Amino acid sequence: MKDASAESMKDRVAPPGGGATTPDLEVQGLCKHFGSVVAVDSIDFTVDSGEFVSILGPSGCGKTTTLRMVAGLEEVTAGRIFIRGRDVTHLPPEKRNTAMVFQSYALFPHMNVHDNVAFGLKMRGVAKAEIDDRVAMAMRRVRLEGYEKRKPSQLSGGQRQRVAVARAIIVEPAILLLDEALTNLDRRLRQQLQLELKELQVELGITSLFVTHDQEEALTMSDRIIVMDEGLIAQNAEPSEVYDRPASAFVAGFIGESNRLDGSVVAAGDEACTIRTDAGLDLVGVHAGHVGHVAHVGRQCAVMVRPRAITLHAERPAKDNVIEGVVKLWAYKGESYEYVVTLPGGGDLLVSLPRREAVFERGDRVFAAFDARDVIVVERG
Amino acid sequence: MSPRWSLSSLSYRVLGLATVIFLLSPLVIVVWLSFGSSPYMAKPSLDFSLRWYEEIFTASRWTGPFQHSLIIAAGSSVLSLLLATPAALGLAKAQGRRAVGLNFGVMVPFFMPGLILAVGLLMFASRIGLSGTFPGIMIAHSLWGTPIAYLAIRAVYAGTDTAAEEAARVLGAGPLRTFFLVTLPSILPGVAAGALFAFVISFNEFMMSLFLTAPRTVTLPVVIWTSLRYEVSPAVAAIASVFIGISVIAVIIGLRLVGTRGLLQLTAADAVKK
Repeated sequence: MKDASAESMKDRVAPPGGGATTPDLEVQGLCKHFGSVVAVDSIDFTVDSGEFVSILGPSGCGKTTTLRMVAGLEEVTAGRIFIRGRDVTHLPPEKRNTAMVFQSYALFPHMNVHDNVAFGLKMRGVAKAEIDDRVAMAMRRVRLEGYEKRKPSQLSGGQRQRVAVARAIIVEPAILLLDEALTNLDRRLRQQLQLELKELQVELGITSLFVTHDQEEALTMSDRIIVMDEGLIAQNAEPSEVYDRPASAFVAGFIGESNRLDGSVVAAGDEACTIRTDAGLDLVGVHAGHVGHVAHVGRQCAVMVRPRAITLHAERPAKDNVIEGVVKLWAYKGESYEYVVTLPGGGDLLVSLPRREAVFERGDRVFAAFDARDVIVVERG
Repeated sequence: MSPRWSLSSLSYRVLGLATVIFLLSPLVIVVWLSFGSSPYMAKPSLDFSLRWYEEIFTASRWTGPFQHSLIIAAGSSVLSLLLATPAALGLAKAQGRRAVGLNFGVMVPFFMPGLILAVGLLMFASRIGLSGTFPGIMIAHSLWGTPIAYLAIRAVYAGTDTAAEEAARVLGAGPLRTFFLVTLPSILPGVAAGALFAFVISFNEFMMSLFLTAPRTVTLPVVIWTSLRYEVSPAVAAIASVFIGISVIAVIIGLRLVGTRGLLQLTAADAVKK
């Protein structure tokens, strides 16, 4: 991957006075207000050369607005944007050397595929012979050779999106921006294009910023995920980190399923902490990493447990955390079984068992168990 | 299954047909009269002749005004497009109360009586020396041409993906190149339809032309009106038939370009917004 990225960077402009440490994109204190609505609330992040970063969040979290500000399609209210060390905050989109893939494909309907793909190079005044060579190469990259003379209306959704990708990568942008680029495609095609796009990105070493609301897509494709909520960055970390050690109840709830129990810290040691839930259950969690700041005695917090981290037993097992409950219902999910267990003092626990190891029926008394290291202690919110 | 010719569907068909006949019969009679040979506008007869068409395309009392009408219609059509295109593109993106106000401002002249506009324009045009000139009457006609072209262009623009313009900008095209390479080609059907509609409106317009033209700019409808005061020649029926022909063709082509549904949807959307 590193070799490929080095090769494709040979004709790129070196960042002024930066060297290898200058990120391809740097955003500082970026804000966007629409009237009295704060869409993006002073966020900072960087995207390094060759990195694939996703901005993930629910609709209205400010992720698309952020991307559009980087592209220059939306004016910034405050803050600065640097692309390869150059301040582009107030430059128009055509002077930023980015490229964008839109959810709606946004192909030029009156031009054939060749002219669509060639557009960016024409705007840059590249000679016709070179344009033809590079279009041919780009068409090979997205596996659309032979479609040059077709109009966008004669292509399927997946083919259109490939043309949009070819049109973007051909200009060798400093950063490739993707706005819900695969959302309009059906599930199978989307998964296929995820892999193709990721392969292409790694092969060409294109620095990419990808906006999506699909957590699975973000986990599959990204080197790093920026989770946004209500205009703020909730977490900025590698996919496994975001999944295993979510920074907040929001992140834990948004990425993957989890059970949430509200409570407060009653004991905090060096290795572990104890949380008493509002229903009166005492749970042991590992006192580690960035959740440490939550865990001092008396602090209100939320406990998150993934359904897959929980096992069910007929007899009380020897585990860090054991909660007695009653099976409310169960459902067969193909590769797993899902149980809903009613807890004493109210509330349900969702449990996912890999196969039907133990047969529990509705109304059975069970012991739900999970390790301290599977307990995620986060701030409420 | 209900019978194919139920009583209610039959009565609707009859009623619909009667309406069409009622609306079209004056036109049919005019066209019929234009092909007669009698020198008077008498009741339609069966003798066929093209003498009135020959007259209107050769006699200078008709050909001069015919040329004026064409020049004015072409000029006013171009002027309407120059005003309507930026308005349609600009207001398509605008939102809120101000956009509604501006939209209203573009549309309102269309619903003003020609007589009122004519009186106002006459006073205005004579002050600045435009009375009786081609530019004067072109400007007057574009008061009606602009709103109709605006509607046609907006209808087409509403169906285009504006992200394409953004894609062009990001790929390195400035605002001007984006307009000429991406926006204009995609709204071209609307522009063409708007041009046609504006042309026909100007070509048919009578009231403003009556007030604002001089002998060297007088248009066909005005000449018809003056000639009718002295004699009732079937040549008028021939001219009327030409008008009908041009209007029908223009409307058919225009609606093809914009799509009837597009135009209806847009006017409905505008009505809801207000």
